[in-house]
Amino acid sequence: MKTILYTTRGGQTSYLNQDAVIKLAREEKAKLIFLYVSNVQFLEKCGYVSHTRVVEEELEDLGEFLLAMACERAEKAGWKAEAIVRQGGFMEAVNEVIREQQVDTFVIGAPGSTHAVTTTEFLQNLIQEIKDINHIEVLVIQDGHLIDL
Amino acid sequence: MKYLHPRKTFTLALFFIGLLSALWFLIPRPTFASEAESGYLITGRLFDPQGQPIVAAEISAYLPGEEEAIAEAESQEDGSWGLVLNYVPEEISVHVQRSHFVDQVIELDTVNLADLKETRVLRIEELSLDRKVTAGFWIATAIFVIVLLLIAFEILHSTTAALLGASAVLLISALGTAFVPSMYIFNFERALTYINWEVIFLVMAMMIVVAVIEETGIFQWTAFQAYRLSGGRSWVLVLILMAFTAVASALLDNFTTMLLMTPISLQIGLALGINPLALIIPEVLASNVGGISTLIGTPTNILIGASAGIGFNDFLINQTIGVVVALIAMGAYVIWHYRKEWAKVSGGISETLYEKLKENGRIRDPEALKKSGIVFGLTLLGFVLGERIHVVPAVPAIIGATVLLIWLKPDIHQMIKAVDWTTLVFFMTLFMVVGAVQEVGLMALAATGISKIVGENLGLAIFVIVIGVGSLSTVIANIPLAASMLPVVDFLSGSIPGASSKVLYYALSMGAAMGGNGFLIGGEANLVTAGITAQAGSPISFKEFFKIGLPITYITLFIGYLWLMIRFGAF
Repeated sequence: MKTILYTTRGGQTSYLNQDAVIKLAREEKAKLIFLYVSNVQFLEKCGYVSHTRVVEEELEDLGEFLLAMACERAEKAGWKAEAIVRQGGFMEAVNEVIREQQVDTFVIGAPGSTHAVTTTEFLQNLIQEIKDINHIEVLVIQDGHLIDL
Repeated sequence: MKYLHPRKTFTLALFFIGLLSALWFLIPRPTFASEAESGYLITGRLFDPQGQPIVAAEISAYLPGEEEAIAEAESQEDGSWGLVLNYVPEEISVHVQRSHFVDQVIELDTVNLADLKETRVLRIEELSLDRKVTAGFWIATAIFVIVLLLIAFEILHSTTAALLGASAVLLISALGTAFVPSMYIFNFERALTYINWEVIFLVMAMMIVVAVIEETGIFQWTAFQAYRLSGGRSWVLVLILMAFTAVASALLDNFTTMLLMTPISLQIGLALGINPLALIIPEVLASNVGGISTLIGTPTNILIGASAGIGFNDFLINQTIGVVVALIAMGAYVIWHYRKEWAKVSGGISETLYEKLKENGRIRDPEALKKSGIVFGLTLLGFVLGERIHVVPAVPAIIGATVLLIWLKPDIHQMIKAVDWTTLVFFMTLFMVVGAVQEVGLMALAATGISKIVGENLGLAIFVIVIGVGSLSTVIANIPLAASMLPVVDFLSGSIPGASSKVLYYALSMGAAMGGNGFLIGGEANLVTAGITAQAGSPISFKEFFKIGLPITYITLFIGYLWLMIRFGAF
């Protein structure tokens, strides 16, 4: 059975992409894994290291909740999904999960028109790195459609 | 080799700090009168042109034609000085010298000296020294402006910027003076006197208290209860969350409150099917305003309280009603601004998600909550009662923090990490940088300028401080802004009739905190909230924030101004 890994932030703007990945997994009868990676580096950048631990715990709870919502969307669409929450660097977390879960296809959302958190350039580099390290298929999704970056 | 356990070391350190502080207050200091018992005392007081006492001026007595002084003294905190002579000569001249002021010489005539011989004490009338603009004035001013710019444009971290400023001032004073004496600003000992240790200890102790409370889960539990109480009506929920955030910010601090409220609010917002920012942005706005009503609610209040001698009760009595009215107005505006969000009807939340939300909104450590609740309550009582026996708020805060460490026995390494040393260093070095411009007379100049604008009109002064500081605070970090404005407010409070009620300090408190709502960059709580929401795919854009933040800033500033006018009868 093929395994699809999709990383999501879980906000409202990612619902379209989540639905598209669920549809893709159902069509390919693939195992679907949602991944949420939290990173408290923003606190360190601001110099607020004193709260790092408690924020890490809160973000873990937040990630579990966001992925529970994503899994529920999958269930409503007639497909089952699993959820994994990781902390730390995005790249390290993705590579780790790809290895652990023997992922065949990695799906990542491209920056949307208004609520972009990442940039296209960042994404292109990231995709190339994942391909180079893991030798797997990487798909990019934007506003619910697979696109070429 | 045996080492003390870190917890014991930390507790012992706190104990000794407390003991030393107590001794410092208890040990009697020598007075001029006691020194003069065996001699003759010439005494007086020094003031600057704004009527503020001049500290650390050198006063020396010379015989005619002599280069060596026969007596020397230094002016004290209240500007007083006392020269003790062993005998009364025929003629004497008293030289008053102080960097950044014009030197003065007082020739004592025979009548004065006869009087001194007879009564053993000669009181010279109050002296006013004129300011002198030196190279040090321009250097300190330039460094001060550079530090503010570095902080405002985030070129350097605020602590690094303040540290750089303090180092530059001290370096130039130490080395530059060797080449150009007029470059002198102040020495290290003098710089240390500008650090308000009461602020440092109060902030540090509250950080420990907050670190214990934040682990209990009380914030998350309350947010979940608010969700339950609201019965799915988002507009009711946002009002409850705003009220709680305001109260929590007043009792703890708004930064921690938002740090803990944001993740659970995100979950609740998404579960309700609304834009979670419609809950979170109002919470941040309420947190910035709620803290104004207590001494410990905002770092600027701690700063203002310690500098102006405004206690916990004073803030509570003089600010709370204004803050509550401002929050009500804010709530009304929020309901109107997000009206489309409230109209969204959610299909309800599944049992699984509800259970997850309940799990995330649970009390994590009931025992710690009970104990920390008791200690925190007693600490608050200490703030309230302490004022009556002249105990500064830092003392109950330190005692409260120590009791929590002993009673709860938390991981001391975590507790030490919870103390935000970066902030404490920022405070200390910022005090030095602001102290430098105070020392050279820039603040006195600014105060004189504002004084010319407002004249003796107290209402206008309140307006200028609330709205002016509020407007500046939308873009400038409120801590350096408040620290810079304090000497100005100090002067205005002494020169405008009716301002001795300390109303201008309250105006500063309101302006500095409410202004933080104007833009996303206006406050630490805003930025940390944006950092967390970005982690959940709901970033707060600059535009989205100021569309609601800016109108609310001026609504609340205006309400704050009106309240102070009513409260202090300035109409």
